[in-house]
Order: sequence, then C-alpha cells, then structure tokens
Amino acid sequence: MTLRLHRPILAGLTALMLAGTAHAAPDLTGFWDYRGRVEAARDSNPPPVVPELAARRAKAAKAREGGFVRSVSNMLCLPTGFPAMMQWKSPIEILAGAGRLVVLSEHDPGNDEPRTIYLDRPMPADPDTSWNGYSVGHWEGETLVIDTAGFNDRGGVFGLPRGATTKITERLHLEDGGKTLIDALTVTDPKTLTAPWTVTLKYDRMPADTERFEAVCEPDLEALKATDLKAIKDIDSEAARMLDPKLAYNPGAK
Amino acid sequence: MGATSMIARRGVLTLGLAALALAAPAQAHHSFNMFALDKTVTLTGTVTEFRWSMPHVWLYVLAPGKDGGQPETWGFECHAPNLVARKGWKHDSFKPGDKVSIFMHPMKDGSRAGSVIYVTTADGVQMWNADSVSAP
Repeated sequence: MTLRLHRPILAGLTALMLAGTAHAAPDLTGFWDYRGRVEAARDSNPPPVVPELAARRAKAAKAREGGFVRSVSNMLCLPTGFPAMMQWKSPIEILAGAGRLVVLSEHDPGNDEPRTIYLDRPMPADPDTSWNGYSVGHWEGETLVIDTAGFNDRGGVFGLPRGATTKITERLHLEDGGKTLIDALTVTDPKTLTAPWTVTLKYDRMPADTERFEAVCEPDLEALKATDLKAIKDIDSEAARMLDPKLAYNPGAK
Repeated sequence: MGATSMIARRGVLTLGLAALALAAPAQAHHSFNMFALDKTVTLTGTVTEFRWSMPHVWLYVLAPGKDGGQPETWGFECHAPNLVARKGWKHDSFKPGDKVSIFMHPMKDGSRAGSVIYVTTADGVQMWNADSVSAP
C-alpha cells in the first residue's frame, strides 16, 4: 500500500534523474581486460607502409621466421609506450579526475609510465617528446575523442617506427551497456604510412572490486650479454641505439 | 565450469571463438617456444620451494626419479604474480612439504621443467595458471 502511494513520486524522480544524466559523459573508469583487435585478423588489415619501410619489415619478418627474436627493449624493461602499453595480457586501469583521464598499465615486459589525457585543452604547438606522447581529449556525445602527438622515436605503433611526425586520433565508446570498451585508433605519419590506418581495440570491463597489482619488470642482463647487438641492429632500434656512441648514457665519460 | 569459462574467456587464439586476434605484445617476458605446447604431462611430488617473483612465479617440486631412481627436483614456470593472483593464487599458496600434482607442458629438450597449466593440491583443488589447456 505504501509502495503504491509512492510509485508515481518515484517514477517522477527517476525521470528527473535520467534527464539530468542524459548528457553526462559515459564512465570509462575502472579495470579493463584487453581482448585484442576487432579487425578479423591482423593480416587482413595491414598498414599502408611507405616503400622504404616495407624492406625493413620484410627483413624483421624473416628474422622472426628463423625463431623468436627477443627485443633489447624487453631485456632492458624499457617502457612499451602508448599504444602498446594498453595491449597486454594484464589489464589497464582508467582513472578520472582533475580534468584528465589517466591510463595505468600493469604488466612486466616494460616499466610503463601512467598515460595522461588532458580534457578540453588544446594540443600544445610543440609538445616535448615522450614514450606515451601528449594526449588531449574531448567528448563528442557518447564518444571520447583523443588526439596524441609528441612521441619519441623509440617504442613503436603497432610494429611501426614512430616519432615527432606520428599522430594518433582515438575514438572511444562503450558497448553492451558499458561492459565493453572500444578504442578505434587512427594513425597518421608521413614518414611511415601512405594513408591513415585504423586499428580497433576491444576491452571487457572487469569487476568493480578489481584491485591493482604491482608488476615491476626486472632487467635481464644475462640475456643482453648473450645478445649479438650488431647482428640485430637493423631490425632492433634499441640494439642500434646501444651501439651508437653519440647516444651513450654518459657521453662525458671517457 | 571453471575450466570452461576460462576457455571461453581466453580461448580466442586457439578456438577462434570471436573475430579477434591478440596482438603481438600480448606475451610474457620470453617466448613459450622452449615448451612443447602440443604435449601435456602430469607429475606428482612434494613442493620444495614456491617463488612469488617477477617476471614469473616458480614452483619447485621433488618428484620420484625415472624407474625408481633418486628423487629429482623439477622447476615449474607460472605467469607473473599479478596474473595468477587474479586466478586465486597467493604468495603463500604453496609451502615446502605440500603434496601437489602438476599438469603442464614439458620442455622440448626434456630437461626437468615445465609450463604449468594447473596445479592440483592435496585437497583436490585445481589452481589454474594457464588460460586453457592449449593457451599458456
């Protein structure tokens, strides 16, 4: 009886609340389990690479055919950077507040920094370069659009080299009542690609009580010692970097 | 149900359940090439050490030698702590003296090591390390 009396009031309140939240941005915060690329198969969506890069990629593919080639970056626990830091077997966590979103990765093959996405700010004219790049985002209805630039020339974008000319535009949205996160990344880079290239990533929402674990990568110096850097320098940019006297860690020391 | 749901959850590459392909970075600190992923073996023994460490958790087990020979120590590789913790493992899940049965992929070269699929405890509990029998 009491319930029946209150039902119209409750319905009115609910309608009011729904109206109030209709334009609120979807909540992307929480833990997300990476489920891979949405494109049917990686081979069905090859990057339109410039001819100069095709030769290098063929060489790397041939080296892989001869067996697994572990990267120097992996041995040294260097960061993988965005977007690889969002593509591991271990989950990512998205946090929001103070006018930004932050993506934390939790995986051991590299010690990655948090990735900050500043909301409703312009992209700086000439951002300092970094592993994750500089990201600014804004909401277009239910879609979060993020522009990232200012990448360093290390790490990679889906297996492609990257640098100051690399730009990525992401469009993120939720599906399945918020249980699925879709992130479509469009990469442009006149140095590596002849046309924009889009890769779509999919994530499953993890339970709200999911906790974060520490996952610190420990360098494998034994493996590094056993690696012939000269033999792999053409297909491993960090091996080439280690051999470059101009890039020595302590250039002043003799 | 546990195994089934796990296969459904992670069996993307092996079972082709969905139009997804895990990207290249989705692998551990090293390749799983050294393990015979097409073979499974069960080995029963006694825990001598449980190492809760990055980048891999290791379980060392003393098992009877071949043809009644002297017991030998085996090393079993598991995923990183953050991955197995989400499957219910803890830093003290195994203690020296625990009787365990290891279901694993053996080494290709026959050395006394393996990549754990799951560990069965003395109480009959299956502690899964792999995502499925066919996916490490």
